[in-house]
Order: sequence, then C-alpha cells, then structure tokens
Amino acid sequence: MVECTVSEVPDVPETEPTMRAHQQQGNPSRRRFLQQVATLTAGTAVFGLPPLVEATETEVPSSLAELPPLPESTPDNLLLRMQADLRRALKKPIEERRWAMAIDLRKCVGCSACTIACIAENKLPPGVVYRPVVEEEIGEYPHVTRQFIPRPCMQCEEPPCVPVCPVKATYVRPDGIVEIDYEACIGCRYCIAACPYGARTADFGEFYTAGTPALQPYETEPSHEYGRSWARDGKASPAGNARKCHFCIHRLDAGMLPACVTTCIGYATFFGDMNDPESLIHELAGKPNVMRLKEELGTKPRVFYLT
Amino acid sequence: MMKVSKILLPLLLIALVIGAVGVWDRLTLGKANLAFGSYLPWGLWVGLYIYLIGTSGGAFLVAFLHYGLGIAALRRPATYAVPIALLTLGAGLLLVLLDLGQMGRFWYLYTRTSPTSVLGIMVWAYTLYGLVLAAMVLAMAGRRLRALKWLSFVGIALVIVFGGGEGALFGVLGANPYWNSGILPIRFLFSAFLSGIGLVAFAVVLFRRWQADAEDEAAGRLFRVSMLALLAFNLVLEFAEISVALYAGVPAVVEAHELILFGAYWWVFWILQLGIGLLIPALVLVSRLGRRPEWVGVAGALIAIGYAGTKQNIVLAGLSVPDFRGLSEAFVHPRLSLTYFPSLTEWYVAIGVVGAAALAFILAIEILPFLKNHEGIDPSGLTGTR
Repeated sequence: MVECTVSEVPDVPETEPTMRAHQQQGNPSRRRFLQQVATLTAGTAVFGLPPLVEATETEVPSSLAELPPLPESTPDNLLLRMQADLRRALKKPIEERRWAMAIDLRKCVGCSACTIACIAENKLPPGVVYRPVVEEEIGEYPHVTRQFIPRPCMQCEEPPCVPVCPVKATYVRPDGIVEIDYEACIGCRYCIAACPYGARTADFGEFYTAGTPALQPYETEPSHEYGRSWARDGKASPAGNARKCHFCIHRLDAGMLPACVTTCIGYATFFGDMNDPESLIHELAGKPNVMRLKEELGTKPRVFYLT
Repeated sequence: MMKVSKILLPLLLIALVIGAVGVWDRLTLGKANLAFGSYLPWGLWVGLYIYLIGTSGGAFLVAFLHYGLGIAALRRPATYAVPIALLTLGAGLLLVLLDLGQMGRFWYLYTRTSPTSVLGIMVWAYTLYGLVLAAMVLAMAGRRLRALKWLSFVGIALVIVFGGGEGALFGVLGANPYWNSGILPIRFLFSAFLSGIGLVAFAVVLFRRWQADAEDEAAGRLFRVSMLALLAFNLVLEFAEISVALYAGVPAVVEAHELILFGAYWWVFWILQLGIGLLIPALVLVSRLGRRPEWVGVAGALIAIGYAGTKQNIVLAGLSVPDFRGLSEAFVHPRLSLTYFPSLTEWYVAIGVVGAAALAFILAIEILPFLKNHEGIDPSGLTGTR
C-alpha cells in the first residue's frame, strides 16, 4: 500500500503551472516540466524511498528505473499493478499518456472514503468538493437497493467547460487532464454552469472554523494542486476561483496514484494510462459492461463506470 | 430642478447608502455573505446584469430610430435614451464585476480574451458599445447630428450582437437542457427591446413636461404601438418555448419549466412576469388609457419591472435543475444547494447600483445643458432647442 500524504510533498518554488508552460513554450518546456517533476519528487517518500526523479536535463525521467522494484504483482493486488502501470507511463513523454479512471459500481459501498481523502489531500475548504458519492435508491420497500456513484471530474476529451472560459484559464493538458490555471481564473463561474456533471465548484474563500475563537492551523495549510504551493488566506487564489478534481496531478508527478484510488476500501477505483495496452485501466475500459456518464453529450469522458 | 427630481433625490441617496453598505460588505468580507453557491453559481446580480444590459440595448433602439433612421417623433425621447442606455450598461457591468470571484483580474477579460467564449466576445462588444454611447453623448453635447447618425448605426449593430449574444451566453451551454435552445437569443433580444423602450417611455413621461403637440402625440402613439407589438411577439416566443418544452417532455426541461410555473417562486412568473410585465400593461395600452401619455409611461414602467423578473427566472430556473439527481444530497453544504434566495448583501448592492444609475440620470438631466432643455436636437441641426 502506498503511504504518502501531501504533507510529505515539499513546497515547490513559485513557478508557472507545469502544463501551461508546456503549452506556451512547446518542446523546450518538456525539459522544464521534468525539472519541476523532479523538484516535486525530491524529498518525497514513496514507500519511504528516495525520490522518483532526479533534477536532470534529460528528456525522459530515466531515473525512474532507479526505483526499487515493486513487490511482485499478483492478480488480486490491483494497487501494485496500477502502481507499476503508473511508473511505466511516467517514463513516456507526457503527450503520449492518457490518464483515465474506472469506477466499479458493483464494488463501491458508498463509504465516501474517497471524498474525504480528496478533501484531505487537496485541503479543500467548505463548500468545495471534487468527488462526491451520489447515492441512488432503486425500487420500493421492501425490494430496495442502493447504488453509489462516485463522481470525480470526467476529464472530458471534449470538455464543455474549456471553450466557455473567457480568459483561457482552463485547458486540456497534453496528458488529457483538464487543468485550471488558478492565477488566470477570474471567478466568473461560467465553466461551472457549463459542466454537465456538476464537477466544478466555486471556492468562496471560507473556513471551517470561521467564527470560532481561532482559525485552526490546518485551515491555512497550503494545498499542492497542480504542483504548486497554494497558501490559503481566504482571498488569494484558489479562493474566488472555480475548482475541480485534477486526478491529483501533483501525486502523479511524484509517482503516486490519486488519493481516491489508494484510499478506496473496496478496490473500486482504478487509474492508469489508457495509451498503455498493458495497463489495468486499458483492460477495464475495454470490458463490455462499461458505461460513461451523459455520453450523448459528446464530451467523451475519461472516467469509465463498470456496471 | 423638477419637482419629481426633488422627490426622488433623497430616496435615491438612501438607496446609495444602502448600496454602499452592501459594497463594503462585498469588498471586506468577500463572498461570505452571498447566498448562491456552486450548483447554483449565479444569482440576483447576474440576473440583473443581463436585464440591465439588455435594457440598455432596448433604450438604444429608441436613439437609433431617431438618429439613425430619422423618425422625427422620437426626437425628444432619443435625448433621454442615450444616457439611459449608458447608465444601465454601466450598472449591469458594475454588478457583474462585483460578482467576479477575483475582481482584481477583470482586465484579463481584455488581455487574455478567449475567442471561443461567448462571454469573452461579449465583453468586447460591451466595451465598444460603451465607447459608442460615450461618443454619442459628446456628439449630442456638440449637436453633431451626422456623427450621431453614424454612431447610432454602429451602436445598433453592437446591440444586436450582444442583445442576442446574451441569450447565446446561456443558449450555447449544451449541458443545460433548459437553456440550450435556439430561441433563447431571440427571446433575449426582443425582451431587451421591450424593456428598454418601456424604460425610456417611463423616463420621458416622468421627467419631461409632455406637450400637447403633434410631435409628442406621435411619440406616444409610437411607444404604444411598439410596446404592444413587442409584448405580443414576446408572448408568442414565450408560449412557443413553454408549450414545445412541455409537450416534448424532456424531463430536465419540463422540470425547469415546472419550477418557473409552480415552484417556490411561482409568483415571479405569474405575478411579476405575466401580470405586471405583460397583462396589465397590455390592457392599459389597448384601452383608452393608452392614449394618454402618463399611462403609456406607467405601462412602460410595468414592462420594465416585469422583464426584470423574466431574466431572473431564466437564470435561476436553468440552474435549479440538478445535473444529477441526488448531487446536492451527496455532499451537504449550503454552497452545494439548489435553493436560493438573495442575501441582504445581494439586495443592498442591487438597490445601490440601480439607485446610483437612476441618481446619475437625474443629475445628468438636471445639470447637462443638452439634456436639461428636454427638447433634444432639432433634426435641422440649426438649433438645439425649440
């Protein structure tokens, strides 16, 4: 089991968001990206081990190979397999990766551990949620069953939220993740209205312990979304911005699976690179019992549901 | 100073003080005291913003009909139409500025404009339109009729762009079955014309002495006929939208319409929108009362008030239908709710901004010589007064 929390990720220097730099500068930014990945991972303990990537000028983080081997994966140890898939993907250039998620609705018990893990990982303030678990009751008493549908951002291939942004503050990264540039977002919330999945929430700059004698320190701890350190004072971004799930980019860059994946008690959430035919996610997404939400809208979600 | 100005000034000053309290709250406490959230991300301010901007375009239509197309009967109303258009535009933009999560970055709308965003394009249209209006005020001050003519043509083109574009702002959102309709931009454009003409008619009747001459009679007739025609057309559009939606039975669309018709704010549709905004003014205008200028002004005011409700309904009904059944119960927080009623701060700011625009209008017509004489610019260009 991966044991790593965001508090172990060191504060990174104030640099532009990784993928924005990549978009704007073309190939040279890959080098910069790798440097940032390396910076992120420096000091990060995955399995209590040395960093995944060294800060080098190499095109591909070949130092991933320096990681100690994972315990041998067994068919029933899905986390280890996904971890290996992730490492393999990270060795590829970013534009060759296609991150995707699969959620097995038959296994989800509606414990909301993923919701809480996400909140803890991303230091989400009141009213901001990236991965609620929608509950649906089917049938009538006494023949009732309940279904639980975790709903992260769908990271759509054709995201309706992107073209509506008036200031180009949200865009699709080369690896398929839809990113929000917190420093560009003006907080008009047009993207929130445009999302068919209700996956974006507005940060109203609130605190859980507002109105109490003292604001608790955990409230002002920085989040590390998009590989940067975002100190919280209730006014500076991401307060006032639209926010959403980003597949824990900062964890991926450090070689870790998204928090919701590692926290799922029932192994119901899967993650990986769809471009890797050997990966678990590729295998699952090809199953006949796969569906995607609101597929008729043509958004091409990268979150698959196994039913 | 006109008697009506003397009565209104203290009221508007009170509105300004109330607005100042709201703005202070917004600037110091951020968005803490705003009642909307994430699943219902726009509220009173956005509804008022689209209403005021649309009304600005409608007021401009009056100016265009006179300065651009040379309809002589609207000479006097056109004088008021330009400042009304400018001030309602300013009020709408101020409200939406206060609505931004990061107000200090508003200028990104110019430096980082996305050409794919309707909102991004709208901002440029508003800006150009504002500049046209400012130039028209200067041209009016200088009695430059030729400049007014050409500016009014540019202005009306921009009105059509953003008047319809405002509807497109909502209509292009395929995620929202209630908004996603080709009829919405047309509804926005023609309801804007209606509320704008209504407001100008009201202002003209309220603030200038109506004269029993042929010009005023013709103006009254024109207002009456145009408001009736636009009321009928808007009714047709609205009926088409509601009846088609209910008959088609797409659940999310039906739910939005049912919310409007029978939901918690049923009164906004039945009383404000249909009663005050449509039925009463229609009855006034078709009856004998409609021949009297003061009643034309009353009908205009009722229309202007009623269509403010229409825009609120469009915004809120579209947002009140959840993307997923059970989403607002999946993670419970006041910001993740589908119910909304504006907070005191929102009301304060709305009252203050609208009051400030009205106050600026009164001061303008009391102070600026080319507005003070109530008469407009003589089409012959020889004099500014009669």
